[in-house]
Amino acid sequence: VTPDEIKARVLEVLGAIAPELDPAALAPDANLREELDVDSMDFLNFVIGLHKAFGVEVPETDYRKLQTLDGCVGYIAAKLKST
Amino acid sequence: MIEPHVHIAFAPRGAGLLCALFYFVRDRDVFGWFTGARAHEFPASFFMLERYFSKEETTCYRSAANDVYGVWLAATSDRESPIDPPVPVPELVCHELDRLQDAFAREWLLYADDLAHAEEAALLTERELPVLAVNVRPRKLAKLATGQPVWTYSSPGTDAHVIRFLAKRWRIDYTPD
Repeated sequence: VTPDEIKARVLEVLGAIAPELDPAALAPDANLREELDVDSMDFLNFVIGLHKAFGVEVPETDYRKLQTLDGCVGYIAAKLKST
Repeated sequence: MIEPHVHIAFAPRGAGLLCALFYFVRDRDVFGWFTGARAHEFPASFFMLERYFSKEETTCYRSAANDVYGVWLAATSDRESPIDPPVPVPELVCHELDRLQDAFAREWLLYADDLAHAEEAALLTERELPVLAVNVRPRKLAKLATGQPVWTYSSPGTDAHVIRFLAKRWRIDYTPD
């Protein structure tokens, strides 16, 4: 899976919890919680969505690595590579 | 991993917050928390729908007060009875409920005794919305669908059947459509 493919699927997962998301307008380094008003409940659903999309388990200690789009792509790429 | 679902109902003309709840499913059971208007009060309870996702009969439990570690009641559509300890909710789930309730209430709800209340209450007043003991935070109102007299928000995947089942047994005034 390429980084671009990961990014596209992460944006799909984000779009499900934040329907107002404009993928083109989301900066790769923008804080997702602030930019999309993603709250704690949304974030848990985001993590579940990533699990369903990629089959990766995200422990709570890693949540901070998912704060930006770039962070998500890098984290998932590393997880997929290690499996 | 917990997959929480959220439902909010808000009457912009007069009654204000009708219902705010979250729940999650673990195996056959449903766990969550709700608050909402009952006359001019806003009772809140944690709840458990035991065996909801099974062919067996579901038992509804709720905390007597807004305390997951306190007294629990068995609730049917017409009566509530205190149950003997221990509470029916596993201890680890109690901790999760406590933690999620704290985050949910902080992010969604504006309480009259909140330190930030005055500033945010002013934003509600500016929009000619009611300000009561418990309110939806102004910035969260954008998430609600406003096409009906009662504005609502349900997070993706929320099961309306769960809310209807609960609504027959809770002690708040809100009845979902």
